[in-house]
Amino acid sequence: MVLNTLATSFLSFTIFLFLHIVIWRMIDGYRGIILILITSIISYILTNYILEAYLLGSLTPEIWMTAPLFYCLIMLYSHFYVGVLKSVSIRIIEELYRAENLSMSRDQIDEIYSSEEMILSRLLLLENKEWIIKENGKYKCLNKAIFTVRINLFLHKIYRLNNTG
Amino acid sequence: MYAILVSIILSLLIPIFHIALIAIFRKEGLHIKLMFVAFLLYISTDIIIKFTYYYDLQEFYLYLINSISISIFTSLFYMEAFSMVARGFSMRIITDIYLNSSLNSSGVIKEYAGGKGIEWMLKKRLEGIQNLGFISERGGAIKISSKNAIYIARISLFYKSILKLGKGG
Repeated sequence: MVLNTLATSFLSFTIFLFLHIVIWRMIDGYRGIILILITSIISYILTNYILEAYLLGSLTPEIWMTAPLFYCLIMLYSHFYVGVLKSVSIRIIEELYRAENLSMSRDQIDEIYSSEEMILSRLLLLENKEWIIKENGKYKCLNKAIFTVRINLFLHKIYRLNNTG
Repeated sequence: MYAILVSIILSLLIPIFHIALIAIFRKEGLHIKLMFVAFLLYISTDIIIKFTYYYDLQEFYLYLINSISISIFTSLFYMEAFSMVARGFSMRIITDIYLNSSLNSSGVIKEYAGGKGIEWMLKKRLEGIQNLGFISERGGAIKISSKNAIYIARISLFYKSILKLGKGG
């Protein structure tokens, strides 16, 4: 039973990776964590259906036995995905790797990966996701941003965080 | 089934342990280390409970695998949530806009992180990868200084090309 459980979880994860690559190569634009979650649910259901209908039958492990390991793997993968996709540090290392002699001046880094570009791309994303609104050239928080910021400021106090960002 | 529920309920101990440890040590810069201590305390508690109540059962090892999976899942979830509060770039931007009522794009750059400015963030990130030994700075030039950084760049660029993720960051 332990082997069945491990095999089902890892097979679901392999099918997830396959679907993930296919979907990501088909769809352009921003593809966030929600799409990873949807892909994972589809691949998990698909794997369990195939195993139960064609391979293991009644020997297919129950959901509560395979889901924890499968979603643990999805969570590990999501961290890797978001890390590579969003990390400023990884982007800097990539730019240095592409540069001649693996070296750049601070000004060159600013030129390629400018602070303005960083801010503007995030502002655009926040505007598209309706967290902020631009009025007369100035950005204002919308209700869900105000609610989130209030929770965030409360957590700063609880965790005694002074240097965030 | 109940073993999983126990692990999920016990995960509420992570923020409790973390906040308590921060309150005890009261030292800036220890937050991340104390978070890992909180994970360790939670996982240990969970495993001890599983050994106490489920050890005699035939499916004990299955319960143990599930418990460890749930523990890793909830710890990573918490790590992500805490990282968003402590280091989140977008979160900091909306916080600055909220604290200043409204800001234009140059105001966001200037007021980032409560007036420290976006340059502070970039400097902090560079110091972070420098402290990890991935880069070094000499005579105004920033250079890759470890093979691990080269592997990271190669893997990251390959991964981004496979998934068509663009430049990222």
